[in-house]
Amino acid sequence: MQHPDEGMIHTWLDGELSQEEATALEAHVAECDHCKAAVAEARGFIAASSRIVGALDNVPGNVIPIAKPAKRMWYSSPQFRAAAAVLIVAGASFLVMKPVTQKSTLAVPGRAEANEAASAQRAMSVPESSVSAAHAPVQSPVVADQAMKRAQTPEPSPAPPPKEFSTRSAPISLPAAKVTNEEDFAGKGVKGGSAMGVDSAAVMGKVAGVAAVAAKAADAIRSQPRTFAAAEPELKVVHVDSSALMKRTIYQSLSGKQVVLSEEPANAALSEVMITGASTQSRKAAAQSAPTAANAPVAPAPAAVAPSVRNEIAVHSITWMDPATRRRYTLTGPVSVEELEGIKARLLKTRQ
Amino acid sequence: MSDVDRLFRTYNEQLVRYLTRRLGDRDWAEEVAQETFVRALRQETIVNERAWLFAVATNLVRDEARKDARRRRHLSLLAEQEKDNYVEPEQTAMERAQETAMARKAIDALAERDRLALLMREEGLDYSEIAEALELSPGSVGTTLSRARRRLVESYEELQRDREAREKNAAS
Repeated sequence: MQHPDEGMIHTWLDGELSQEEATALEAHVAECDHCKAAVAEARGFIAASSRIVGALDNVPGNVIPIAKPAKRMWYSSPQFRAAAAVLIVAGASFLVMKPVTQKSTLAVPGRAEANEAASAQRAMSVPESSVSAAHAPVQSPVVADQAMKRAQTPEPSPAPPPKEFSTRSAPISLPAAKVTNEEDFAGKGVKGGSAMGVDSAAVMGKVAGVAAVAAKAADAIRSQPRTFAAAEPELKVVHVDSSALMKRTIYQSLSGKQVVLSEEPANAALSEVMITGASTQSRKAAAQSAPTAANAPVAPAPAAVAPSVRNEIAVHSITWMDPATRRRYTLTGPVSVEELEGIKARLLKTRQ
Repeated sequence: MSDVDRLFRTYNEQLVRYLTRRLGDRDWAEEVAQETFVRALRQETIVNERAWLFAVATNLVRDEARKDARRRRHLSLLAEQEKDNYVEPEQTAMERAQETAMARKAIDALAERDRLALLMREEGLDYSEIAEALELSPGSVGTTLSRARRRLVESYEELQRDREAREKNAAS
């Protein structure tokens, strides 16, 4: 047998040679001094390398920490941070907005002027509000949505609002849209009732400053001359909004007044569902077109609104039936009944 | 007990020791070992368990070779900083630490394949397992191991001689 190479000696010492190869190598090493020395050296290397490798396991007491890359936690992702920021802003907005809402709806019987002032302030806070705001105030989509949300998600209220609240709190000079929301708001037993339950005098004191300023603004708005021009023959369609049960068409005359024609089946259940259920699209469209009566009660006014109040706010409705189509038409707008009748006549004429 | 549980209980200690020796960082070694078992979880069939585990662990380490280099630089930097705050330890502890440092240097001086084969063998892998894990021919494992052992020991002895010479110079 030839002298085994170093690899074979290690293989043999590691017990990895076959039985035959091992026997042959063993016999050769027994007779070969050179190979005996090589095997001895190999044994030494195996033992020494094991010891050296084992030394790697020695961990000194003050082991040097290795800075590992910090693991990104789930909450440190940019997406989560963005979402958290949005939530914080939304939460803060809610907290800021909520007291204003409560204050503005704190219409105490006998303190209607304060409520009016607060409401007027809200009207004034709309960016596009101007002199014409008295006649065609703009309700921004955000405000409309917030009002809608308030109406749809009433907070638990220990006691329903006083009946006169919903009546008297209807802002006298507010646009019909406001009236609608307020009616809806109060009619569903929203926070106004519970706010009323607290010490209203104290709260009123807090809002007195705001109310005083807003009252002036309300007076200024109301003092503007109302030019109720008769509906012009040319009625322009501003917006058409159809739902399953109802079709609403907003007309604008040359004088800038906007009236809403609602048509629906005669037997349709007219309720606030129709109001609160108005599609987002319709709300947006109504808000964009700055309608005075876009969000006006397309249905007959809820019972909560007293007729006297309705007269004061100068938003009128007329309703008629078309026997041919068995549909009910309601025309609503910030114009007099006579003018509405005139518009109705024009519409009927046009439709014929 | 699931198959992965059994694999973990059987091989985790070996694998972590192998990886610790290879990487010089037990935490890192445990991370790699865990990742190896996670990979095993996804594997439908494993013919040669130990060879497969060591091969996957080795490949994971190889994938992080650049990080390894970066970490070593960082470690060296920390070691430099540590010298400033060095407190004389007990003689035995210091000797052990020096021994470990030399062992690390010697093992790092080996070629990658030699080093891995040697560390695997130290964990009890047989030649066929090493060959499978490192994609070597079975006949070349003996040669690889003999070369690795010789170089390791020679390298270590050289480091030892250097240290003794430094100590002699320091004493004189």
